Amino acid sequence: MSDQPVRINTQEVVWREVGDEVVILHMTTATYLTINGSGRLLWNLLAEGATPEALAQTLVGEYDIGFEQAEADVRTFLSSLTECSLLEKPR
Amino acid sequence: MPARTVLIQDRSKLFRSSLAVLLDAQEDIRVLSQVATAEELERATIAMEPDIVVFEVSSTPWDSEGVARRLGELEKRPRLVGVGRSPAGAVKSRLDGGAVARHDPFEEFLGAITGVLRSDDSALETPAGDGPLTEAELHVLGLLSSGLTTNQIARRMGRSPRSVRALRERVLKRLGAQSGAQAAAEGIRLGLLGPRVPPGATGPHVRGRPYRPPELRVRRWDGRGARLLIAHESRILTAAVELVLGEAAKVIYHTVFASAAVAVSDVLVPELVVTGDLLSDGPVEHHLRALMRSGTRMLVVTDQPEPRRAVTLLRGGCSGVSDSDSDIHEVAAAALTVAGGGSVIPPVVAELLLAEWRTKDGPIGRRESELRLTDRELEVLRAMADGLATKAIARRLNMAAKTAENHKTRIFQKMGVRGHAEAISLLYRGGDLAPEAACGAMAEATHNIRPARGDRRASV
Repeated sequence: MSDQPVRINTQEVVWREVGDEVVILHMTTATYLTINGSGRLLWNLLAEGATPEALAQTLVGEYDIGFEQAEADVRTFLSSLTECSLLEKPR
Repeated sequence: MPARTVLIQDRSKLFRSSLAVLLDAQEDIRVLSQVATAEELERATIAMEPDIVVFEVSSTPWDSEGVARRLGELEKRPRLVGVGRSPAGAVKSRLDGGAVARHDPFEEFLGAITGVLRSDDSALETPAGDGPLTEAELHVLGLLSSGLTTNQIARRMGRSPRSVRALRERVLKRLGAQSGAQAAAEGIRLGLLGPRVPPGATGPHVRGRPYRPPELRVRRWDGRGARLLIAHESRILTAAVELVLGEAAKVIYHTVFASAAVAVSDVLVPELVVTGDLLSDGPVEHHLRALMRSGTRMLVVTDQPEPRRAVTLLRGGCSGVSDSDSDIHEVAAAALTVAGGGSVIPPVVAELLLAEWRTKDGPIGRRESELRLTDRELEVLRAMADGLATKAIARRLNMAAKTAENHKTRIFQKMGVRGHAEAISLLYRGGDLAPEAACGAMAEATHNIRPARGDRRASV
């Protein structure tokens, strides 16, 4: 897993936390998205910038799951965020 | 297989019409009719012989037990599904499909209806065997161990509560248990069940919070139709609006919290926010400004269609007010109108606004001085409000009856009204007269109205 921090593309994305969800609007693609409870934890870290490993550790700390599962779930999640252009492009 | 027929009764036209359009959209269900009262329901059931009746069960003084009993005694007895939370035991025992709370999602209603439609009654006739538990029995045992009630299990399994009760009895008997909890414990001891899992949990969890992997849901908008945000307790309403409007609009978010609607509206800036009177975090009036700060327009579907409340909402910035005693098609049309930049004002409110406009600004083209009542005219108007007839007004104000009559004519002209009753009503609506005085004056005015020969206008 990469050790480079990943960040939200704040230039093109606005969002609000609504209850246990995050509601997101991508202003360029006019796509609106929602993220569920465990994803909300990760999203808040991504707003500041975080490495995939730190994200996985957060899941392990919050839920009763192993690091391997957390790592796999984070990878899938980050890949869906990238597909929707919600993350800054790596420099 | 021919479509099964359903009859719906509910006093809320919006609710019953919403449920009807959603059920009618199902391939195997046909809604025969929707009615408001118990009398209409009984008459329609006898005449139409529906397979299923969906009716209100928890409102008082509604005699839902009486309705259920009488429907149950019909020669062609319909299966019954209740609408309402926690119906009384006597009613509950007569409901084949259990009861569904009014604000539950449509899927719950559909589950209850399809549950009773399934020909699962064979389970009732099968005696408890000696072999291993059947798949259905194991399923019931698993759900019992999760603490679910019979109705919840029925919905989860898509069976009728009656068949679930029969399965439950068989499971208890075969495990020698007196209760669901005992059966669950025995099930775990025999290795039929794993350790107890809270309902809804799908995997590892801490502090009672289930873990679901982080998930991103994408809701693309293709640019066609208006984007609606619905903040309303009724999920049925939301689903029905979406169905009726089709491609003309898309419901991009539903919530029962005004605060959530505000946050989402800020981000997604829908063309329209549709709300009810009361959300889970307070009356809609408290949130109007915040809900509209993104520039979105608002339609309130109100249970309180009194003109004054509607005016308050419109003055607060709403572009439309729709009576909740409307058909779902009317509400959906109102939503489209408001989303498209128009306004929806109930006729009674339009009349009131017109009256206020006439009183305050007057018809176009007339100067304010021409319209303002003189001190003497105001005295005459107050005497009219006290319920005095022309001669009594003349006596009180020490003027000739003819002069009093002339004052009244000018007052009517300036106020843009046709007679005594309308003038007093307008005065009352304008807030310049105490309601008691207005009521007395109105009674007097009504009493004094006599149609003139050859003229349908009232003469006072």
